[in-house]
Amino acid sequence: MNIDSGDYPDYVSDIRKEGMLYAGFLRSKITEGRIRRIKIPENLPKGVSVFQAGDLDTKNFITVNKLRIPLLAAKEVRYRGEPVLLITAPTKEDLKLVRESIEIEYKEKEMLESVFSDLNGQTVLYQTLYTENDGEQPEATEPTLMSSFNTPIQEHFYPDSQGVFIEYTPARLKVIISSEWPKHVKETVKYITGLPGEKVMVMPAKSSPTFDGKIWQPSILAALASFAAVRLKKSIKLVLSKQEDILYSGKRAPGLFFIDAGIEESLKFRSLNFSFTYFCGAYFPFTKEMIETAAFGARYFYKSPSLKIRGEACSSKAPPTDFFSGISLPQFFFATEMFMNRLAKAKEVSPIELRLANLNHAFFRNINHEKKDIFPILLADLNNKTDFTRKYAAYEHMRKKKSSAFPVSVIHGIGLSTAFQANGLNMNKGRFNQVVRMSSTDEKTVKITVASIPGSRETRSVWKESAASVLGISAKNVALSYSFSDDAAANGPALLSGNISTINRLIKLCAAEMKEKRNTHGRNCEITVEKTSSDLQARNRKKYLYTSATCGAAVVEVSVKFLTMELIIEKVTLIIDCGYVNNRAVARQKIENAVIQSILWATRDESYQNLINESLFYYPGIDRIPEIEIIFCSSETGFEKGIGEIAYSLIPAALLSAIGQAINKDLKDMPISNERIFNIGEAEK
Amino acid sequence: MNISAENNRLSLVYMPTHLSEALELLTKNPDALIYAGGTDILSHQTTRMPVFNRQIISLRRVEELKIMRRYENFVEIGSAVTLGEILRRKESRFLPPVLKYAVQAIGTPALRNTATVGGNLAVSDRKLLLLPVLLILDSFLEVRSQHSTRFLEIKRFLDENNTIRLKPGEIITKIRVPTGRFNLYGFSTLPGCVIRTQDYFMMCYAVRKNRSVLEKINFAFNIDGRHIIRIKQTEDRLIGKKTPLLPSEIQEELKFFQTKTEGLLPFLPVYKKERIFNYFRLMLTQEMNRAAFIE
Amino acid sequence: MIIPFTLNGEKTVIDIPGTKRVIDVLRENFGLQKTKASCYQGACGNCSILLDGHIVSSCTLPAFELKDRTVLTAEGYMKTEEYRRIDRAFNENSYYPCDFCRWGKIFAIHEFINSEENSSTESLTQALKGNQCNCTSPSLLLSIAEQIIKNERGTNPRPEYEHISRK
Repeated sequence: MNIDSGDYPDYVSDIRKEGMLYAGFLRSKITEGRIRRIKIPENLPKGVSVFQAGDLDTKNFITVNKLRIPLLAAKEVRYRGEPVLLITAPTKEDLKLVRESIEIEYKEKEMLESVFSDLNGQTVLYQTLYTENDGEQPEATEPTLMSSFNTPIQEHFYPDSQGVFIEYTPARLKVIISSEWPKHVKETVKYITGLPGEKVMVMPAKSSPTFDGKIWQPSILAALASFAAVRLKKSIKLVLSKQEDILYSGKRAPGLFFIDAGIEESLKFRSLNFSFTYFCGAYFPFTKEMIETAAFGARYFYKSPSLKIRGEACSSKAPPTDFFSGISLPQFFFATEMFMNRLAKAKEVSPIELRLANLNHAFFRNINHEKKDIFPILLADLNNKTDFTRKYAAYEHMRKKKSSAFPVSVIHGIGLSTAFQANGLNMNKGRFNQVVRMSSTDEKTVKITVASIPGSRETRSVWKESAASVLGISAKNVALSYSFSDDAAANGPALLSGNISTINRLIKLCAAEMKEKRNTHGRNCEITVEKTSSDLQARNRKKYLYTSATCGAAVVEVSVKFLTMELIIEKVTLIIDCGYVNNRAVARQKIENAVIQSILWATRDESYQNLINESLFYYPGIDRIPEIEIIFCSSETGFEKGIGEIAYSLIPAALLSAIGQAINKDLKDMPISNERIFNIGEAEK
Repeated sequence: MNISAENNRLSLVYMPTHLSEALELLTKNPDALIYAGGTDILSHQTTRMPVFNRQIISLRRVEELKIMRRYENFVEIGSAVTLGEILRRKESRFLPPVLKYAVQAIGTPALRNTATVGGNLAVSDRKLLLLPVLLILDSFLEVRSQHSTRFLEIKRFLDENNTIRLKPGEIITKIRVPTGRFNLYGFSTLPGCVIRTQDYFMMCYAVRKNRSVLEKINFAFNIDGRHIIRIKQTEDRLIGKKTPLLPSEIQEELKFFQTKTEGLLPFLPVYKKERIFNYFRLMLTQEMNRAAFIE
Repeated sequence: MIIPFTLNGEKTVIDIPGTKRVIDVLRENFGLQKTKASCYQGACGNCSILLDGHIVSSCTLPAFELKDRTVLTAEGYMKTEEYRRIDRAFNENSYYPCDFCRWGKIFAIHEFINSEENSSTESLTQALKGNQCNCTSPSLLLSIAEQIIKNERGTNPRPEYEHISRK
């Protein structure tokens, strides 16, 4: 399929076909228990079918990363909202009527107040332990500070609900789906229907690039819809309702963190201990990736002679969580950066000074693998831009004086955070391999085939420009298409859709090799080159990791109107070293959106349950968005790094630190709300 | 167990073009739903196909209700004038600015082009933005039924819960907003910049100041779109006072206000009560001192 | 219910339940898929259409409201000269909103151009607040909209006469 010609099918919700059936789920109303009986009325309207787990027989599951996840609950229900039945009907009205008329009886049932009320761990799914010691015995010394932090779930905004359309013809099955992992969808559909590869055609819908929060869940929809389509020999449209989508689709997993550290007079760490747990919901196939990514952050970002890391992933009674920008790093950086700010406050030093003393400067390299200590530059620039040190000291002074002074009407706070985004950290191998194939028959044109869906129109142009610049041709002559046919080695989900780095570098590698081959083989003969992400890492895996880290720092300024308990985010300033920026407008846009979504994550006012009762995920209008300034500190030319995720790591900690300073309280948990600000103030009195 | 298509029952829609016709229809069908802009009704319908289960009388085509006119001392607004129209019409420049800001604060431009003034006042289960603003501007309502017309100050239509109560067969036809009575206005809504909130708060006031003396002061709060708070006694106590108020006067008024509001809304969280109190304090200490608008 | 109205310049008569939402009428009965349905609460702006020349949310509008009125959807507005100018400004600034929010944003700009509002950033922010989407940068939208409105209105200033405290 050619990307350029706009060959994308429409949004799934737009597709309609004569004679198609509408499909929908009947979901469990209880949190945990066993299904005793399902009462289906006998006289169902004409054309209505109901599928149970038994109908799928031995194929009632999808396999993701070796984990089997049931499609329909067979006997046991593990979370509220788990699909129990799939119903297909000729009209939406029939679907609704049938759904209301079916009763499910449970035994040994447990009913929690809300879908998300029990996020506590059930079983440990994965655990990692790491210890590093310089020979001293840190256990003997008391930690300077110990603290715990909590992060909530995070929902992902996208306008079109998740869905799949299966076009059934006896010759083949066409699957139009909003998914970033079409290859997995295809594998799943092949397995469930038993059809050979050439009879299954998967087409990602227009909304696919926005689905990086739901990597494997679309495969469940595809599996069930294709099963029903083949069984009934009809085209099927299965689109989640807005409410279903908000309640039961994948979210960012909540995390619980304990950090303690000992610090010396020189402000350097003596010891650093991390202990964290992520709550993954009922099923989560990527526990290892999740925990190891957070552990990677713990291991390399700050330096300490004695370091202990204990990380685990637990299941919980909530709906399954999924991948989300940054996977587990934003939660980790929230805790760590809040901790650093608290430590700076306790030691009465500037947060910048404390960070500069402890950042793992050896970790950050430039493209030639030379040590390049980027953070002093970033922090100095950010300080100049925002006047952080002066403001911080002034607000600290006011904070300390406040208790005795007459209450002022507006109080200010400023917060700082630092973070990195390690692009494709554990994700560019095996199942997550990215592949680029480049072929040409003459010296003027070239065709690139990728297995990932570009995150945006600009990503596509960036890819083309990269190839064109290396080959010395016009970008207009570069054709881009994507393929996930059986023979393609490509199989990775477009996990890093916001991250153009991996694919872009593979394109550049391909182009360089093609240029070389043109010189040796002749200019106008047929040449094909293929590169996978293992090619990037083969030479030096460590080098690849270090050089690809995007570094950044952020300052958030807030004011709290004490008279009205109103929190106002005055300004958000980010400085980011993401290497060469191809298109500043696009880069800005990506970061701005991540900033807004991370503010949403950190400032949810009401409980999540209240929010979703409206069956509307609220995205702020333009009038509610604070001033956001983004500074690009481009270190090297011709070398791009990812930018999609770093704002999620930076903003919450800086924001909550700023609020904490304003209201003179150590905040530990997200989200913060007007009511919480007031209650904290009251408790203080 | 039987499945029937009962909830697909369709509603009969009347679209009268004259007010007399509309009133006659309403007398004949006292249970019918009066439909003006319908934004509130439709946005709270959970189903794709709205279910009304009763007859509908749409006022959209009644020309008499879409008139907006300026007179010497007041502006008259027909109840079916849309909120967007209020901002667009040339008569609107004579309206007290507090009313225009309230209109602007409602929903989005697209919503305002459908929602009507009458609808905003007559929504039964909640109290929307315009009611407190029209209340402090001492506005009048014209309410008509087939055989009678009532033309009274808006506060006379309010029951003990500050909700507009109409008799069966009555509809709001006109709103008369006096002009030139006040020369200092204030309007404030929350949230300001906080991105997501269901926590809703609005305060508005209108003051007539002669040099520095408060000749008349009206203020009201709208809390969560459910409660309207107006303390008449405090308004009366402030009349005749000179601005800026003395610290002792402020303390006294704050104390009085607190005793009055304390028991008003027993279910309101403490921080919301505190917020009302703080806004009132802000009004006394700072807002009243601003220079009045010179006419 | 029989409803005569003008759709994208053509006189149309349709027989449908009068209470059906206009968004569903346009998408299901007329196949006009450029108008998107998302929140069904009049909050997101994706279902915006022009009714008698003014922007409205078609999800909170029942079909009977269409009687004898003029509807312009994205499909019809695309043929106008004003649209071409707006589209050109979008392209020149590499501003590519997704298909969901694109028309809501364009119609909001159209509404502002034809209003009496003064073209301050604050009024423009208020005019564009009804479009909720994360596909593009809010600050970029604001700057492009400012540019479009300046071009469309020329140097015609808008009145400014308020005297009010507003926080």
